[in-house]
Amino acid sequence: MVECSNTLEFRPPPLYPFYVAGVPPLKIIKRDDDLIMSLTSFLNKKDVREKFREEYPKPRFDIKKEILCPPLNSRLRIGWNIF
Amino acid sequence: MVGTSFDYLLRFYIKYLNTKAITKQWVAEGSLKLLELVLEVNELLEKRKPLKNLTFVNKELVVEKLFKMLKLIEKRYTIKNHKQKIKFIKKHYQKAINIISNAKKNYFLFLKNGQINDNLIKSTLLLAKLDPIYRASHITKSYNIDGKDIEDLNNLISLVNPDFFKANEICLLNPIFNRASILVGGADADLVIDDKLIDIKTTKKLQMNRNYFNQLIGYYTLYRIGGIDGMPPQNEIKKLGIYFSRYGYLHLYKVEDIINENRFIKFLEWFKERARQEFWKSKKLEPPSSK
Repeated sequence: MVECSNTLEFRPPPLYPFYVAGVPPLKIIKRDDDLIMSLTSFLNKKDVREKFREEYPKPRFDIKKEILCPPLNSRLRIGWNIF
Repeated sequence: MVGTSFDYLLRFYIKYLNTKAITKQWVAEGSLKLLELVLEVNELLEKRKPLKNLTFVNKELVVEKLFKMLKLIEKRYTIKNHKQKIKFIKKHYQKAINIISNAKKNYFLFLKNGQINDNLIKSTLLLAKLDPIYRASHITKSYNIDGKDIEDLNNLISLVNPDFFKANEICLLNPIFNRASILVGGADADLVIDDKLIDIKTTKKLQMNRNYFNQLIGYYTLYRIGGIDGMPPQNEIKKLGIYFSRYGYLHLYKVEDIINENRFIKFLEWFKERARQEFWKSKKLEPPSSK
């Protein structure tokens, strides 16, 4: 089991127009339910992908089936960067 | 968008099939909460008040998300004036309240009568439009719904074989992996049905690419590190699978067929250490220690 309680010092970037200089940095315990979802970004790291490839050979996937519910909308998917 | 909407719709349906299913807060609800919090933080900063009196726990993360949101609004919608940006957030906050409120009504009505109608489907499309706020601090500009998407979702849900998703005992919707979710900066799975952990893919192609396969192994690894929130410890995940919604096909792997338990223990140690490096050192935090 992993102990993950931790703290993060927050120092605001200069872009915020109303930031008050002198406000002490915050030190707050991070909680899991507040964090962004980022397993995907981890799995996309080059060395992580390589490790997975080395450890877990992907079984053949020979399933051939007819698509029963083809997409009705042909517009391009709009992506957003979560990281 | 249809993919995320279908995730919601299928989970609603699974909840209908399994009344005792454990459901987590919707991601869209997390988005609404986040909008509320960033507006609260902004108000204090505008009034030049310190944030220390705020009641919620993770202030610094909310501030980070506020800044990211402001940057994205400027970048994507070319709104440069700060007050206009905040006005934009407030408008979408009100919109999010209405979306969640209507979605709850439609959801509870569905759980009562089991009728999937256009209103329920529209709600899932709107909830999916809110998800990127929580996941990426990105606010969508338009809440327009395309009639073809409603039809598409209707077709997809009609294709579902209820037998795939009826649980004997355990049914968890959108579960997280307890403390292990933190290790990788956060992770949630789509479904757990008894001994099966299932991911939903609404894709045109029926294929098991490396990314999908790695995602399943990744979930299994997190489960082995931290367990699954809401799952009794005696319940073991023995199968990993993907439901290909456009094919009505559930592909399952037996864990024992794809994971060598003798090598897995060593792999777990590698995974934990690598994740610590990635997520904790990069944020200039002390890496979490193993018990």
